Amino acid sequence: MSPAIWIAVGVAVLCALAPITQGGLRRSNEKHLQGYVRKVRLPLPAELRAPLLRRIAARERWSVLGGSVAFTVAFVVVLAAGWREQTGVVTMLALGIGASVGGVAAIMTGRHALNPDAPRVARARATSLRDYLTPGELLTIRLAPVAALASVVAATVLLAVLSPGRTSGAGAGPSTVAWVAAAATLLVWAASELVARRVLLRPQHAASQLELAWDDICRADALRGLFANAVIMAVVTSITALFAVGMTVTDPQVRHGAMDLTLVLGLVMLAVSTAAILGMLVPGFVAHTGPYRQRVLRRLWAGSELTGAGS
Amino acid sequence: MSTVLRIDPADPAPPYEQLRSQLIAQIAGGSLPPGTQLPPVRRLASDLGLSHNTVARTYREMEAAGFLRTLGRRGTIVASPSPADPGIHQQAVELTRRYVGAMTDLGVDRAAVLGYVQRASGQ
Repeated sequence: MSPAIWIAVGVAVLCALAPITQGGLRRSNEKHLQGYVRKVRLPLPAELRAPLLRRIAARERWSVLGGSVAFTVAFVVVLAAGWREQTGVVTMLALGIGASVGGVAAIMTGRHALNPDAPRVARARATSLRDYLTPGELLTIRLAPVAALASVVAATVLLAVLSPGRTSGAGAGPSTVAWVAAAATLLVWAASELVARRVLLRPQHAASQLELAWDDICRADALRGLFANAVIMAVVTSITALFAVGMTVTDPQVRHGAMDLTLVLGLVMLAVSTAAILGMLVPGFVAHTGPYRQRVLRRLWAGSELTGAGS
Repeated sequence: MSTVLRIDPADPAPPYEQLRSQLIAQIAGGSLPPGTQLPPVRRLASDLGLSHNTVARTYREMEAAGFLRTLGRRGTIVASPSPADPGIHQQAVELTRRYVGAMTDLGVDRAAVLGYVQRASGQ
């Protein structure tokens, strides 16, 4: 596709990142806000609208800013390096990473001034990722680097089965790209783990239990977005590894005299990549078919009036 | 069982006392069971708009009173009441339950019961 089309796609995605407040630029979109409140299943009394909208606007503003900067930088790099074929993948990945880093930056830089005369509430116990994300989501996150590495190692082993003389360099380029993608996945995953722990240590300023619960919801959303990067990167890495093997085993020179071997290697790599991607994604996907947004309420607000009978 | 702490500037009790009594009530009530990790001092101080020293002093004094334990890098946790002898622990739990029940029958609320215990034990 033409780079101009990717710019249009990028702008559309950036607009979709800020559905409720348009990054604080306009008045809140009531329809989207009510939809969000319905999904979260927490009451939103009039006095909490302003604090919640401030949090949402900050998250959307930072997401749009992070996504825009990352998209622009990636676009310039792609054009400068002459990787026009990869414009879509690189710019969209960068936009996603930039947006979710922006979402977390909203929490890291958030300053909610406490009214010195008003009561303040806080949680008496420390929290962990398990309080904010479902076990399925956490499993998917922990499997992301495993899936990426398994795919790349499998691709390297399978390519080594074909003698170097036979491949005559075919697949070396894509194989290198797969290893770079795997390294990037590990880097993004490790950075996400570190940043998530920093997020958990950030203060939560609230004047009521309900405001604290809403802050928990915002925090869970930001953490979910942060870890989505590592998962997407792992999927891309697995596909890149499959592509590296596929490019090699479909090369006519390589296939000559080794039709059966190349066919088997191609099928094995397809099976490994599919297993890696599905094995990683299924736990998170299953979790998302349930009330995953209520996880934080069940963990941190069980037994309170916010969750009814402690469900 | 709530694990939420609430500091009210309009309350005549100083923030230190509010924080301490609420933590003790939650430990006694079982909403903060033994082994529960408390937030780091800086985090809780920032959450509640209190000074670092106020929270640190609360943790320190509660640790001295046996409610909390500090485990270095693992932070501060709620201490187990009596790990030594399970039989004695069971008796202590039963005696305390009977005492709290008798005080409640007298019309004394839970916070006041804790106050009596603290006063009687010289804290």
